[in-house]
Amino acid sequence: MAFFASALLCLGGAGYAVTARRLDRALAAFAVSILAAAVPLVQLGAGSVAALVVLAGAGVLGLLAGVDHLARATARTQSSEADTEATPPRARPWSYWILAGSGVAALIWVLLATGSRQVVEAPEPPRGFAESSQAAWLSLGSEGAWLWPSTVVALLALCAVLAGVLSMVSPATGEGGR
Amino acid sequence: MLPTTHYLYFGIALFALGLGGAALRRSLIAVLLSVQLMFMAAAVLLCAYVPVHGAAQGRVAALLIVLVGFVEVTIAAAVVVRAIRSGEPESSPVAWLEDWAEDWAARSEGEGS
Repeated sequence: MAFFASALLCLGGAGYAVTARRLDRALAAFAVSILAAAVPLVQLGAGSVAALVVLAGAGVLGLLAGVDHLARATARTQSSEADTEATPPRARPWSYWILAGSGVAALIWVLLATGSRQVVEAPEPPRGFAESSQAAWLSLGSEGAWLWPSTVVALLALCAVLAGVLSMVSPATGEGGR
Repeated sequence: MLPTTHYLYFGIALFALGLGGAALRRSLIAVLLSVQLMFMAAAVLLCAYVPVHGAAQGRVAALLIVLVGFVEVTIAAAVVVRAIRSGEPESSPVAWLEDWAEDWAARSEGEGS
């Protein structure tokens, strides 16, 4: 019963979010859809995936609302034709260097781990499995041992991407920045 | 536990909604939301087939897919912010966020006059 209710809510919210003209209503419907989609994931025993879906959905909502706010503010500025003085160049924020450093650290970690064969060494595939579909075997070691390292590497890669995004949003600087 | 087909139909419906929105809308926000819906549908399907095959790799793949979706929206937002700040949109930055109907009407009026 919970599945059908959440599925109905999720699909309805998704449909409204896709078709709505007003952005605030579309984002609200998308939030409802995200929250409803977490219910089937929890029922499937994927609580971590559901939590990440909700967190990523919140991030997406914040980003898109910010983009809309910025676009409308810029449009208002253009329409009023106010004299805009050239803003002095700014140094890149400290968050950029933290994220970029995390991304570089993740890259070095992966390179070192692969080079020392800590990642590629794994136990032999099961017999029956190897006979049935040999090409599908992915040697990842024992269950759970690789889950958190891979998630950490993925999150550090996300840090690198966010640093790249920050470098785009906060453009080049004069003195004091690069 | 419900049969896997229930989750399969749910995922397909969610993916179809996202695909339709991404294909039919021209609003940037609507397209990005639709892409997110498609990523979410893929994550649901991956998690739904984990009990069937008894392998936990599907959940890790779902985690990465959700993460990739968030990164994709982040990059798109950064590109738009960069374009808005550099004055790329000739008419108005809001035109990027409006639907194709208004945009098309505005362009038609501009070309007619």
